[in-house]
Amino acid sequence: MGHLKKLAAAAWIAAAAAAPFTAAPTMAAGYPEKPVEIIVPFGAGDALDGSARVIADRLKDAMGVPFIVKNIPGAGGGKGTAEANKAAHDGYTLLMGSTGALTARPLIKDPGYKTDDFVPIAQLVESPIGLAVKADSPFKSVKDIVDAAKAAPGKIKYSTPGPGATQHINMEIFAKDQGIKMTHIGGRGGKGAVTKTLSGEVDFVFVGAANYTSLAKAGKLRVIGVAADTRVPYLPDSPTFKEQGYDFTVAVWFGLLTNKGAPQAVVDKLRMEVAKVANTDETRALYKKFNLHEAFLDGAAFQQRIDANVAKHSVVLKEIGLMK
Amino acid sequence: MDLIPLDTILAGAAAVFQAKILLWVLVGVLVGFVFGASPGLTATTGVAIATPLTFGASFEVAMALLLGIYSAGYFAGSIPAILINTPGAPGNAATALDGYRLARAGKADLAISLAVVASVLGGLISLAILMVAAPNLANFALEFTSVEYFALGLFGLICVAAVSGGSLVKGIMGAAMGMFLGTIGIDEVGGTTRFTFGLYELQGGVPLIPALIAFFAVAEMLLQAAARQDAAALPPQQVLALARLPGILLRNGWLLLKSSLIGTFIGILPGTGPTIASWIAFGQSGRAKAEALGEEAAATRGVIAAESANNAVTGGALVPLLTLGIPGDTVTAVLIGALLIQGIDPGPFFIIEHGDLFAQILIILLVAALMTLVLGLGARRVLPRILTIPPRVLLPLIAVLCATGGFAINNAPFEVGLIAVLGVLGYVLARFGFPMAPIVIGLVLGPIIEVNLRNGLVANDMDVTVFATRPISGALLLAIAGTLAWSAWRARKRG
Repeated sequence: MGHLKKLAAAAWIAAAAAAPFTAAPTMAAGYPEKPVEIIVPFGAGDALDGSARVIADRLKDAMGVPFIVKNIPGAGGGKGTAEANKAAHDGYTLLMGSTGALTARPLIKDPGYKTDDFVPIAQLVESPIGLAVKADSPFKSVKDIVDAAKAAPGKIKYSTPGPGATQHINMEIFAKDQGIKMTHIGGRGGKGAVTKTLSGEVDFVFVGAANYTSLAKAGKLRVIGVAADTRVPYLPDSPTFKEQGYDFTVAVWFGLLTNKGAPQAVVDKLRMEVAKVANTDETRALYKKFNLHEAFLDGAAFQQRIDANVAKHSVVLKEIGLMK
Repeated sequence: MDLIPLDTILAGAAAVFQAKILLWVLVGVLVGFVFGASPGLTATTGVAIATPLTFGASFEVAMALLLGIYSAGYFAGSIPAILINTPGAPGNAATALDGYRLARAGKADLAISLAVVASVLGGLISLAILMVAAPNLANFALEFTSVEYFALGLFGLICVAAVSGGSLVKGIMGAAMGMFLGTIGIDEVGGTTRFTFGLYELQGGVPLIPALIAFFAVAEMLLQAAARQDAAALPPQQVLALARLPGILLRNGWLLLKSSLIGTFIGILPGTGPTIASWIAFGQSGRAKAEALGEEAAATRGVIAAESANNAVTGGALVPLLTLGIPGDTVTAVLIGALLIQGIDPGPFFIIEHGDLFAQILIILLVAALMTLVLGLGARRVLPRILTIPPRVLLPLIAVLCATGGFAINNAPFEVGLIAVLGVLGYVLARFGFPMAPIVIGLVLGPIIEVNLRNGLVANDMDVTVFATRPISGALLLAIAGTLAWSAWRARKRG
């Protein structure tokens, strides 16, 4: 038994020693006085993570303390967002929030946070969503799909990153508006959803257009509807939904937030510094490489967008049975 | 698709064979060793952390660093797996079974040498396949729909029989427990949350790495602590004459090739990776049959199969990345970001438009493999000395290593607690004679089987027959039935 006790002690000492130092209340005037953490609720290395690291690097230079990116992937962003919600409300933990995790997940089931547990600092980027079919698909336009779904309800299948994702919810909104019924199959991520279309398992994919630019250029996929106001620069030949007579725009957005209850002076300072850093050419150039659209919104405008998303999502989530 | 012209290869070689680039490959390999060998850190973490450092670097430098980490990282986890039964990464768990057994029998040198050489050869075989057949194989990946993934998952479960030790019933029960653990978290088909009991940290499911650390390392430590075994009771470590290696490898040449092919093909399939590859190869290694030749021969087969397969994933996973822009495993998913920042959108045009860069990638991987070989063989004499440390010193050290590894995953204490809970559970199960490996296999394969069964049915309008009528799925199911029938027949004959 002695060994067991020693083992347990060893494990817990290690845990305690490494646990994040909880912040003592700091005077907002001196903010930041120590490193700031940015939680990215997705895996390291992808485009979103890259954009967070770009901002972190710029903020470090602007504010004189390290901004440390911490990746906590899982549950479509829910796990990392819940982790961010546990942090002290002092502005030393920021969240790289995204559409689905922030404005849909809390409506489905309590994931350990509510949308208004966070105060927006600024929206940074967005990625327009597009509808693509396999090259040999009979569908040439959005209307072809709508017609086919009308003729055979539930027979048309489509893929998005997963159930409850922005892409899924919005395609259901579209289906409801058109009075059609389609079947959804999750792709365990954007690239997985694209793969399901290439393999013919589903009829179309509805994910961020950046996921398949090279496949579209090579003619392996045909993008027949971009859910944006205008065509996107890297897919100039792909028409928008609007051009085809459907008033349908969807974007996945990403932006910085911090915990509600952080001192107002800290929030104001962060808003000012992030705005300065985000609106530079270097930052824009890096976003562009990741096929992300620079889409800066200040705190107030970002809050409006979040509220609008929540209102829209709560209607449709009820209808597709994801919300109780 | 034509082969890459020789002059392109030579130009690629010229670009890579510069002191600076070779140095970066070496840095990558060394970093890969550290990330691969540390429980809780993986090649994926290493590549992800290193990627932002390459934002300002040239293509060659970026790839030298990242592919060096990739190549060495998939191997290095076998070292702690062999020496302390703690797989450094999930892909090395299968190696722990036989590798650790060899180490305890005084043959750590043999186990590490085999792991290094099998890894490097597996990597090189997959590299050759990537070079000559990438575009054709990409189409093969697209033959796999949910139906095929379901059949593959079931096929993988066969390896439970190979790792169950004495009792197949307990092995199957363990696999079922693992599959149950795999249902925890947000259901990927319906979107509902299952069995989290209000623990928000479990939304994403029971993470694999803490489970591995718990069921392999912690359970084994507790067993040893309870047994109060003395290091002096272990047989002394034998030194392996390197001259013996070629003979061993030649005797297992077919196994090595077969496992490398399994690893390459699993690598090509998006959504899979070294973990599944190594378990399937282990299950197909025929080590049970080889037991007639003695424990060493059987364990040799297990190590060769697992390690050649997990490193062969590297070349395989690059196939869909460089031909479709779709990653074959988690490291290649991270590599997309690194390529984008270099201004390269990987996809169907990559090899056609950037043949020179493709050649550089191949040569960097080749160099990284050779460096891994030299470093790995160099370390094989020194590292086994760990086993001479008395358990009262070594076991607490491993405990700290496990706890820090658990913490490193998300920089949060939850995983450390999870390791403690699952580790005690593993210890109790082990005391009742349950083998640990089937639990982990159930956790890995359970979600694949479940999600793809349900998606496969939905995609085919609930028609069950597709599992038999689609050719690849049908063939896999037939192979499963054949294996089961054959072993049932053998069991009856033995009485």
